[in-house]
Amino acid sequence: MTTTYMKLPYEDRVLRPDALRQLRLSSGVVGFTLDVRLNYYRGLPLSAIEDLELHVGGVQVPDHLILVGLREKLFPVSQVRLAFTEHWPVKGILRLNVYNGGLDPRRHQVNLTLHLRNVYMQFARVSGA
Amino acid sequence: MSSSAEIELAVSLYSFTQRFVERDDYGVEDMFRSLQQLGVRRFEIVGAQAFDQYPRPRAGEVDRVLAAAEAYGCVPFSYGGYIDSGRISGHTPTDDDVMLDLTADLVTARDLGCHYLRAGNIPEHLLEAAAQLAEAYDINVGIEVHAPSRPSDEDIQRLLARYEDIGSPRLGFIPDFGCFIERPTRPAIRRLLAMGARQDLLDYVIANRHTGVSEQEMWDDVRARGGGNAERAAILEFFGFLSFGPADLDGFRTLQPWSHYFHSKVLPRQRGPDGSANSRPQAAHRHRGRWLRGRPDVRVRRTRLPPRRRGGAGGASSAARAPDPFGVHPGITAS
Repeated sequence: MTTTYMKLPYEDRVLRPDALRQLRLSSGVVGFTLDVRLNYYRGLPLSAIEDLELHVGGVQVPDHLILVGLREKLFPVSQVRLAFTEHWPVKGILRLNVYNGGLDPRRHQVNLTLHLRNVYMQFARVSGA
Repeated sequence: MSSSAEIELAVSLYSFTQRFVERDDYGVEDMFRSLQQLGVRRFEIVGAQAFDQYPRPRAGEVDRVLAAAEAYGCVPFSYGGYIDSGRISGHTPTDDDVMLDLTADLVTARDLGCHYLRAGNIPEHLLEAAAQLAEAYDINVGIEVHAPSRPSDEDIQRLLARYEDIGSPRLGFIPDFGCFIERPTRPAIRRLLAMGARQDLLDYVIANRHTGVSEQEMWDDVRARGGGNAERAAILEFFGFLSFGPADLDGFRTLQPWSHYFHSKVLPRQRGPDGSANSRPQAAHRHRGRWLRGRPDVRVRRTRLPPRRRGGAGGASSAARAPDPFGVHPGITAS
Protein backbone atom coordinates (compact mmCIF):
# COMPACT_ATOMS: atom_id res chain seq x y z
CA MET A 1 0.00 0.00 0.00
CA THR A 2 1.31 3.41 -0.89
CA THR A 3 0.04 6.28 1.13
CA THR A 4 1.16 9.63 2.37
CA TYR A 5 0.01 10.09 5.91
CA MET A 6 -0.84 8.01 8.91
CA LYS A 7 -1.95 8.97 12.37
CA LEU A 8 -2.44 6.63 15.31
CA PRO A 9 -4.30 7.46 18.50
CA TYR A 10 -1.59 6.86 21.10
CA GLU A 11 0.03 10.30 21.09
CA ASP A 12 -0.82 10.86 24.74
CA ARG A 13 1.41 8.01 25.82
CA VAL A 14 4.55 9.19 23.96
CA LEU A 15 5.52 11.69 26.67
CA ARG A 16 3.99 10.88 30.04
CA PRO A 17 3.90 13.25 33.01
CA ASP A 18 6.88 11.53 34.64
CA ALA A 19 8.94 11.41 31.44
CA LEU A 20 11.34 14.19 32.36
CA ARG A 21 13.92 13.64 35.11
CA GLN A 22 17.22 15.11 36.23
CA LEU A 23 20.34 13.20 35.22
CA ARG A 24 22.33 13.21 38.42
CA LEU A 25 25.78 11.72 38.89
CA SER A 26 28.05 11.82 41.97
CA SER A 27 29.35 15.15 40.77
CA GLY A 28 25.84 16.57 40.67
CA VAL A 29 23.26 17.20 38.01
CA VAL A 30 24.79 16.84 34.55
CA GLY A 31 21.66 16.91 32.43
CA PHE A 32 18.26 15.34 32.14
CA THR A 33 16.58 12.26 30.76
CA LEU A 34 13.42 12.10 28.70
CA ASP A 35 11.47 8.84 28.37
CA VAL A 36 9.81 8.36 25.00
CA ARG A 37 7.26 5.73 24.03
CA LEU A 38 5.93 4.63 20.69
CA ASN A 39 2.80 5.95 19.05
CA TYR A 40 2.27 2.72 17.17
CA TYR A 41 0.63 -0.65 17.44
CA ARG A 42 3.77 -2.78 17.06
CA GLY A 43 7.43 -2.51 17.94
CA LEU A 44 9.92 -1.15 15.44
CA PRO A 45 13.60 -1.48 14.74
CA LEU A 46 15.47 1.47 16.20
CA SER A 47 16.60 2.30 12.67
CA ALA A 48 13.00 3.21 11.86
CA ILE A 49 13.64 6.58 13.50
CA GLU A 50 13.91 9.00 10.60
CA ASP A 51 14.24 12.20 12.59
CA LEU A 52 14.84 12.88 16.25
CA GLU A 53 15.11 16.46 17.45
CA LEU A 54 14.89 17.86 20.94
CA HIS A 55 14.27 21.51 21.73
CA VAL A 56 14.40 23.11 25.17
CA GLY A 57 12.99 26.60 25.40
CA GLY A 58 12.93 26.79 21.63
CA VAL A 59 16.64 25.97 21.31
CA GLN A 60 17.63 22.69 19.69
CA VAL A 61 19.80 20.39 21.79
CA PRO A 62 22.84 19.43 19.69
CA ASP A 63 22.95 15.74 18.77
CA HIS A 64 26.36 15.30 20.38
CA LEU A 65 24.82 16.03 23.81
CA ILE A 66 22.31 13.19 23.46
CA LEU A 67 22.74 9.47 24.00
CA VAL A 68 19.76 7.32 23.05
CA GLY A 69 19.17 4.46 25.50
CA LEU A 70 17.24 1.30 24.69
CA ARG A 71 17.33 -1.29 27.44
CA GLU A 72 21.00 -1.57 28.45
CA LYS A 73 22.41 -0.11 25.23
CA LEU A 74 23.37 3.43 24.34
CA PHE A 75 23.61 5.01 20.90
CA PRO A 76 24.67 8.42 19.69
CA VAL A 77 21.95 9.97 17.56
CA SER A 78 24.14 9.48 14.49
CA GLN A 79 24.11 5.70 14.99
CA VAL A 80 20.39 5.26 15.54
CA ARG A 81 19.72 4.92 11.81
CA LEU A 82 22.21 2.03 11.73
CA ALA A 83 20.68 0.11 14.63
CA PHE A 84 18.44 -2.12 12.51
CA THR A 85 18.86 -5.17 14.73
CA GLU A 86 17.67 -3.33 17.87
CA HIS A 87 13.95 -3.73 18.44
CA TRP A 88 12.05 -0.95 20.22
CA PRO A 89 9.11 -2.84 21.76
CA VAL A 90 5.67 -1.30 21.54
CA LYS A 91 5.55 -1.03 25.35
CA GLY A 92 9.23 -0.15 25.66
CA ILE A 93 10.87 3.08 26.73
CA LEU A 94 13.45 4.94 24.68
CA ARG A 95 15.44 7.06 27.12
CA LEU A 96 17.12 10.18 25.83
CA ASN A 97 20.10 11.00 28.04
CA VAL A 98 20.86 14.68 27.58
CA TYR A 99 24.20 15.93 28.89
CA ASN A 100 23.52 19.64 28.76
CA GLY A 101 24.49 20.52 32.34
CA GLY A 102 20.93 20.24 33.59
CA LEU A 103 17.85 22.39 33.64
CA ASP A 104 17.40 25.17 36.17
CA PRO A 105 14.30 25.00 38.40
CA ARG A 106 12.17 27.23 36.13
CA ARG A 107 9.44 25.78 33.94
CA HIS A 108 10.78 24.68 30.58
CA GLN A 109 9.12 23.96 27.29
CA VAL A 110 10.55 20.69 25.97
CA ASN A 111 9.60 19.79 22.41
CA LEU A 112 10.35 16.42 20.86
CA THR A 113 10.17 15.78 17.14
CA LEU A 114 10.12 12.10 16.30
CA HIS A 115 9.44 10.80 12.82
CA LEU A 116 9.16 7.05 12.43
CA ARG A 117 9.27 5.06 9.24
CA ASN A 118 6.59 2.40 8.87
CA VAL A 119 8.97 -0.37 8.01
CA TYR A 120 6.58 -2.79 6.33
CA MET A 121 4.53 -0.30 4.32
CA GLN A 122 5.53 1.79 1.36
CA PHE A 123 4.87 5.47 1.91
CA ALA A 124 5.07 8.08 -0.79
CA ARG A 125 6.71 11.42 -0.18
CA VAL A 126 4.34 14.37 0.02
CA SER A 127 5.39 17.30 -2.07
CA GLY A 128 6.14 20.30 0.05
CA ALA A 129 5.99 18.39 3.32
CA MET B 1 -23.59 -25.39 1.58
CA SER B 2 -21.50 -25.62 4.71
CA SER B 3 -23.15 -25.47 8.06
CA SER B 4 -21.93 -23.05 10.71
CA ALA B 5 -20.65 -25.98 12.76
CA GLU B 6 -17.86 -26.41 10.20
CA ILE B 7 -16.53 -22.90 10.76
CA GLU B 8 -13.79 -22.72 13.32
CA LEU B 9 -13.34 -19.43 15.12
CA ALA B 10 -10.14 -18.08 16.54
CA VAL B 11 -9.12 -14.65 17.79
CA SER B 12 -6.06 -12.60 16.94
CA LEU B 13 -4.40 -11.12 19.98
CA TYR B 14 -4.06 -8.02 17.82
CA SER B 15 -7.69 -7.44 18.83
CA PHE B 16 -6.45 -6.27 22.23
CA THR B 17 -4.05 -3.68 20.83
CA GLN B 18 -5.51 -0.62 22.49
CA ARG B 19 -5.49 -2.09 25.99
CA PHE B 20 -2.06 -3.61 25.42
CA VAL B 21 -0.50 -0.38 24.20
CA GLU B 22 -2.16 1.99 26.66
CA ARG B 23 -1.92 -0.02 29.86
CA ASP B 24 1.41 -1.05 31.32
CA ASP B 25 -0.32 -3.64 33.50
CA TYR B 26 -2.09 -5.36 30.60
CA GLY B 27 -0.40 -8.39 29.07
CA VAL B 28 -0.97 -11.63 27.24
CA GLU B 29 -2.31 -13.27 30.40
CA ASP B 30 -5.19 -10.79 30.38
CA MET B 31 -5.85 -11.53 26.71
CA PHE B 32 -6.05 -15.25 27.33
CA ARG B 33 -8.42 -14.65 30.21
CA SER B 34 -10.67 -12.75 27.80
CA LEU B 35 -10.49 -15.57 25.28
CA GLN B 36 -11.48 -18.04 27.94
CA GLN B 37 -14.47 -15.85 28.81
CA LEU B 38 -15.40 -15.70 25.12
CA GLY B 39 -15.17 -19.45 24.84
CA VAL B 40 -12.51 -19.23 22.12
CA ARG B 41 -9.38 -21.36 22.38
CA ARG B 42 -7.39 -20.75 19.22
CA PHE B 43 -5.43 -17.54 18.76
CA GLU B 44 -3.14 -15.75 16.39
CA ILE B 45 -0.26 -13.79 17.90
CA VAL B 46 1.59 -10.91 16.20
CA GLY B 47 5.29 -11.18 16.97
CA ALA B 48 6.32 -7.56 16.49
CA GLN B 49 3.63 -6.53 18.96
CA ALA B 50 3.73 -9.25 21.58
CA PHE B 51 7.46 -9.77 21.96
CA ASP B 52 10.14 -7.45 23.27
CA GLN B 53 12.60 -8.88 20.78
CA TYR B 54 11.65 -9.19 17.13
CA PRO B 55 12.09 -10.81 14.63
CA ARG B 56 13.54 -13.41 16.98
CA PRO B 57 12.04 -13.31 20.46
CA ARG B 58 13.97 -14.66 23.40
CA ALA B 59 13.13 -18.24 24.33
CA GLY B 60 11.79 -17.00 27.65
CA GLU B 61 9.27 -14.78 25.88
CA VAL B 62 7.90 -17.68 23.86
CA ASP B 63 7.80 -19.83 26.98
CA ARG B 64 5.87 -17.16 28.85
CA VAL B 65 3.24 -16.91 26.10
CA LEU B 66 2.83 -20.66 25.91
CA ALA B 67 2.60 -21.04 29.68
CA ALA B 68 -0.01 -18.30 29.94
CA ALA B 69 -1.98 -19.77 27.05
CA GLU B 70 -1.96 -23.20 28.60
CA ALA B 71 -3.14 -21.80 31.92
CA TYR B 72 -6.28 -20.53 30.20
CA GLY B 73 -6.72 -23.48 27.87
CA CYS B 74 -5.67 -21.51 24.77
CA VAL B 75 -3.66 -22.78 21.80
CA PRO B 76 -1.76 -20.74 19.17
CA PHE B 77 -2.66 -21.62 15.61
CA SER B 78 -1.09 -18.79 13.61
CA TYR B 79 1.85 -16.45 13.96
CA GLY B 80 1.67 -12.95 12.50
CA GLY B 81 4.98 -11.98 10.93
CA TYR B 82 6.33 -9.23 8.70
CA ILE B 83 8.81 -8.59 5.97
CA ASP B 84 10.29 -5.33 7.27
CA SER B 85 11.59 -4.17 3.93
CA GLY B 86 12.03 -0.62 5.21
CA ARG B 87 14.21 -1.55 8.13
CA ILE B 88 17.20 0.34 6.75
CA SER B 89 16.57 3.76 5.27
CA GLY B 90 17.74 4.01 1.68
CA HIS B 91 18.48 0.29 1.43
CA THR B 92 16.56 -1.85 -1.00
CA PRO B 93 16.15 -5.24 0.66
CA THR B 94 17.99 -8.07 -1.03
CA ASP B 95 16.62 -11.57 -1.48
CA ASP B 96 18.75 -12.61 1.49
CA ASP B 97 17.13 -9.90 3.63
CA VAL B 98 13.65 -11.14 2.74
CA MET B 99 14.47 -14.79 3.29
CA LEU B 100 16.07 -13.96 6.63
CA ASP B 101 12.88 -12.27 7.83
CA LEU B 102 10.78 -15.16 6.56
CA THR B 103 13.03 -17.73 8.20
CA ALA B 104 13.03 -15.90 11.52
CA ASP B 105 9.23 -15.87 11.53
CA LEU B 106 9.03 -19.54 10.56
CA VAL B 107 11.36 -20.45 13.41
CA THR B 108 9.19 -18.54 15.87
CA ALA B 109 6.00 -20.02 14.42
CA ARG B 110 7.47 -23.47 14.93
CA ASP B 111 8.61 -22.61 18.47
CA LEU B 112 5.04 -21.58 19.25
CA GLY B 113 3.63 -24.74 17.70
CA CYS B 114 1.62 -22.83 15.07
CA HIS B 115 0.28 -24.37 11.87
CA TYR B 116 0.32 -21.07 9.99
CA LEU B 117 2.50 -18.04 9.42
CA ARG B 118 0.70 -14.92 8.25
CA ALA B 119 3.68 -13.57 6.40
CA GLY B 120 4.56 -10.20 4.99
CA ASN B 121 4.74 -9.56 1.29
CA ILE B 122 7.03 -12.13 -0.30
CA PRO B 123 8.25 -11.16 -3.78
CA GLU B 124 6.91 -13.46 -6.48
CA HIS B 125 10.34 -14.69 -7.54
CA LEU B 126 10.97 -15.92 -3.97
CA LEU B 127 7.71 -17.80 -3.54
CA GLU B 128 9.09 -21.14 -4.64
CA ALA B 129 11.96 -20.86 -2.16
CA ALA B 130 9.45 -19.77 0.47
CA ALA B 131 7.37 -22.89 -0.20
CA GLN B 132 10.42 -25.11 0.25
CA LEU B 133 11.32 -23.35 3.48
CA ALA B 134 7.75 -23.63 4.72
CA GLU B 135 7.82 -27.35 3.96
CA ALA B 136 11.05 -27.72 5.93
CA TYR B 137 9.52 -26.00 8.94
CA ASP B 138 6.14 -27.73 8.49
CA ILE B 139 4.32 -24.39 8.48
CA ASN B 140 1.76 -23.07 5.98
CA VAL B 141 2.53 -19.56 4.77
CA GLY B 142 -0.32 -17.17 3.99
CA ILE B 143 -0.19 -13.71 2.45
CA GLU B 144 -2.96 -11.41 3.59
CA VAL B 145 -5.32 -9.75 1.11
CA HIS B 146 -6.23 -6.53 2.85
CA ALA B 147 -7.91 -3.33 1.71
CA PRO B 148 -7.20 -1.40 -0.42
CA SER B 149 -6.21 -4.58 -2.26
CA ARG B 150 -9.10 -6.52 -3.79
CA PRO B 151 -9.07 -10.16 -4.86
CA SER B 152 -9.43 -9.24 -8.53
CA ASP B 153 -6.49 -6.85 -8.45
CA GLU B 154 -3.83 -7.62 -10.99
CA ASP B 155 -1.10 -8.21 -8.41
CA ILE B 156 -3.30 -10.54 -6.34
CA GLN B 157 -4.31 -12.54 -9.41
CA ARG B 158 -0.65 -12.71 -10.45
CA LEU B 159 0.14 -14.09 -7.01
CA LEU B 160 -2.63 -16.65 -7.44
CA ALA B 161 -1.14 -17.71 -10.79
CA ARG B 162 2.25 -18.18 -9.15
CA TYR B 163 0.66 -20.31 -6.42
CA GLU B 164 -0.94 -22.46 -9.09
CA ASP B 165 2.33 -22.77 -11.02
CA ILE B 166 4.28 -23.77 -7.92
CA GLY B 167 1.53 -26.04 -6.72
CA SER B 168 2.59 -26.15 -3.10
CA PRO B 169 -0.14 -26.42 -0.47
CA ARG B 170 2.25 -24.57 1.84
CA LEU B 171 1.41 -21.31 0.05
CA GLY B 172 -1.91 -19.54 0.27
CA PHE B 173 -3.93 -16.41 0.99
CA ILE B 174 -5.45 -15.01 4.14
CA PRO B 175 -8.27 -12.79 2.84
CA ASP B 176 -9.33 -10.06 5.23
CA PHE B 177 -13.06 -9.44 4.95
CA GLY B 178 -12.30 -5.76 5.37
CA CYS B 179 -11.57 -5.71 1.66
CA PHE B 180 -15.33 -6.15 1.12
CA ILE B 181 -16.38 -3.00 2.99
CA GLU B 182 -19.03 -1.27 0.88
CA ARG B 183 -19.17 1.91 2.94
CA PRO B 184 -17.31 3.23 6.00
CA THR B 185 -18.42 1.67 9.25
CA ARG B 186 -20.04 3.67 12.01
CA PRO B 187 -17.20 2.93 14.46
CA ALA B 188 -14.72 4.35 11.94
CA ILE B 189 -16.83 7.48 11.49
CA ARG B 190 -17.18 7.93 15.26
CA ARG B 191 -13.44 7.58 15.74
CA LEU B 192 -12.71 10.19 13.08
CA LEU B 193 -15.27 12.56 14.57
CA ALA B 194 -13.64 12.08 17.96
CA MET B 195 -10.33 13.05 16.36
CA GLY B 196 -11.95 16.34 15.36
CA ALA B 197 -13.13 15.63 11.83
CA ARG B 198 -16.14 17.56 10.54
CA GLN B 199 -19.16 15.43 9.63
CA ASP B 200 -19.84 17.44 6.48
CA LEU B 201 -16.30 16.95 5.24
CA LEU B 202 -16.40 13.21 5.98
CA ASP B 203 -19.66 13.03 4.03
CA TYR B 204 -18.00 14.91 1.18
CA VAL B 205 -15.01 12.52 1.10
CA ILE B 206 -17.28 9.47 1.14
CA ALA B 207 -19.56 10.84 -1.58
CA ASN B 208 -16.63 11.67 -3.85
CA ARG B 209 -14.33 8.74 -3.07
CA HIS B 210 -15.02 7.03 -6.37
CA THR B 211 -15.32 10.02 -8.69
CA GLY B 212 -11.85 9.48 -10.09
CA VAL B 213 -9.94 11.94 -7.92
CA SER B 214 -6.64 10.84 -6.45
CA GLU B 215 -5.90 10.77 -2.74
CA GLN B 216 -3.73 13.88 -3.12
CA GLU B 217 -6.40 15.73 -5.11
CA MET B 218 -8.98 14.87 -2.47
CA TRP B 219 -6.72 16.15 0.28
CA ASP B 220 -6.04 19.39 -1.60
CA ASP B 221 -9.79 19.84 -2.07
CA VAL B 222 -10.70 19.07 1.55
CA ARG B 223 -7.92 21.24 2.90
CA ALA B 224 -9.27 24.13 0.82
CA ARG B 225 -12.66 23.51 2.46
CA GLY B 226 -11.13 23.88 5.90
CA GLY B 227 -10.10 20.30 6.61
CA GLY B 228 -7.23 19.50 8.93
CA ASN B 229 -5.30 16.49 10.17
CA ALA B 230 -8.41 14.52 11.18
CA GLU B 231 -9.89 14.85 7.71
CA ARG B 232 -6.49 14.01 6.24
CA ALA B 233 -6.45 10.82 8.30
CA ALA B 234 -9.95 10.01 7.02
CA ILE B 235 -8.82 10.41 3.41
CA LEU B 236 -5.85 8.17 4.06
CA GLU B 237 -8.06 5.49 5.54
CA PHE B 238 -10.82 5.68 2.91
CA PHE B 239 -8.25 5.48 0.11
CA GLY B 240 -6.14 2.97 2.04
CA PHE B 241 -6.72 0.18 4.52
CA LEU B 242 -10.36 1.18 5.09
CA SER B 243 -11.04 1.58 1.41
CA PHE B 244 -14.62 0.77 0.44
CA GLY B 245 -16.61 -0.05 -2.66
CA PRO B 246 -18.68 -2.79 -4.25
CA ALA B 247 -17.66 -6.13 -2.73
CA ASP B 248 -15.45 -8.15 -5.07
CA LEU B 249 -17.14 -11.48 -4.48
CA ASP B 250 -16.25 -12.94 -7.89
CA GLY B 251 -12.60 -12.25 -7.19
CA PHE B 252 -12.98 -13.76 -3.76
CA ARG B 253 -14.19 -17.03 -5.27
CA THR B 254 -10.95 -17.33 -7.22
CA LEU B 255 -8.93 -17.12 -4.00
CA GLN B 256 -10.99 -19.57 -1.98
CA PRO B 257 -9.18 -22.75 -3.10
CA TRP B 258 -5.90 -21.17 -2.03
CA SER B 259 -7.07 -19.58 1.21
CA HIS B 260 -5.67 -20.90 4.48
CA TYR B 261 -8.06 -18.99 6.70
CA PHE B 262 -9.94 -15.69 6.82
CA HIS B 263 -9.88 -12.51 8.85
CA SER B 264 -13.03 -10.79 9.93
CA LYS B 265 -13.84 -7.97 12.32
CA VAL B 266 -16.91 -8.75 14.38
CA LEU B 267 -18.97 -6.87 16.90
CA PRO B 268 -21.10 -8.44 19.61
CA ARG B 269 -24.85 -8.47 19.35
CA GLN B 270 -26.48 -7.30 22.54
CA ARG B 271 -28.74 -9.93 24.03
CA GLY B 272 -31.59 -9.55 26.43
CA PRO B 273 -31.98 -11.40 29.72
CA ASP B 274 -33.87 -14.18 27.92
CA GLY B 275 -31.01 -14.65 25.47
CA SER B 276 -32.86 -13.13 22.53
CA ALA B 277 -31.19 -10.61 20.27
CA ASN B 278 -31.65 -7.11 21.64
CA SER B 279 -32.17 -4.63 18.86
CA ARG B 280 -32.49 -1.51 21.00
CA PRO B 281 -30.09 0.92 19.35
CA GLN B 282 -29.03 2.61 22.56
CA ALA B 283 -28.13 -0.61 24.30
CA ALA B 284 -26.34 -1.87 21.24
CA HIS B 285 -24.50 1.39 20.92
CA ARG B 286 -23.19 1.27 24.48
CA HIS B 287 -22.19 -2.33 24.14
CA ARG B 288 -20.38 -1.71 20.91
CA GLY B 289 -18.73 1.31 22.39
CA ARG B 290 -17.03 -0.86 24.98
CA TRP B 291 -15.93 -3.35 22.38
CA LEU B 292 -14.26 -0.68 20.31
CA ARG B 293 -11.50 -0.62 22.88
CA GLY B 294 -10.65 -4.24 22.28
CA ARG B 295 -12.95 -5.81 19.78
CA PRO B 296 -12.18 -9.31 18.70
CA ASP B 297 -10.51 -9.60 15.35
CA VAL B 298 -11.64 -13.05 14.48
CA ARG B 299 -9.71 -15.36 12.23
CA VAL B 300 -11.87 -18.01 10.63
CA ARG B 301 -10.06 -21.11 9.53
CA ARG B 302 -11.26 -23.27 6.71
CA THR B 303 -9.96 -26.59 7.91
CA ARG B 304 -9.84 -28.31 11.24
CA LEU B 305 -6.33 -29.37 12.16
CA PRO B 306 -5.00 -31.12 15.23
CA PRO B 307 -2.93 -29.00 17.58
CA ARG B 308 0.79 -29.27 17.11
CA ARG B 309 3.22 -30.11 19.78
CA ARG B 310 5.69 -27.33 20.24
CA GLY B 311 8.64 -27.73 17.84
CA GLY B 312 7.27 -31.03 16.63
CA ALA B 313 5.29 -32.30 13.72
CA GLY B 314 1.92 -32.15 15.45
CA GLY B 315 -0.33 -34.92 16.64
CA ALA B 316 -3.18 -35.86 18.88
CA SER B 317 -3.38 -34.43 22.36
CA SER B 318 -5.96 -33.99 25.05
CA ALA B 319 -6.72 -30.57 23.53
CA ALA B 320 -7.45 -32.22 20.18
CA ARG B 321 -10.06 -34.40 21.86
CA ALA B 322 -11.78 -31.53 23.61
CA PRO B 323 -15.42 -31.18 22.58
CA ASP B 324 -16.19 -28.58 19.93
CA PRO B 325 -13.77 -25.82 20.92
CA PHE B 326 -14.63 -23.79 17.83
CA GLY B 327 -18.36 -23.37 18.12
CA VAL B 328 -19.61 -19.97 17.07
CA HIS B 329 -19.93 -17.85 20.18
CA PRO B 330 -23.55 -16.89 20.65
CA GLY B 331 -22.69 -13.36 21.65
CA ILE B 332 -20.82 -12.33 18.52
CA THR B 333 -21.89 -11.89 14.96
CA ALA B 334 -20.29 -10.67 11.82
CA SER B 335 -20.81 -6.97 11.23
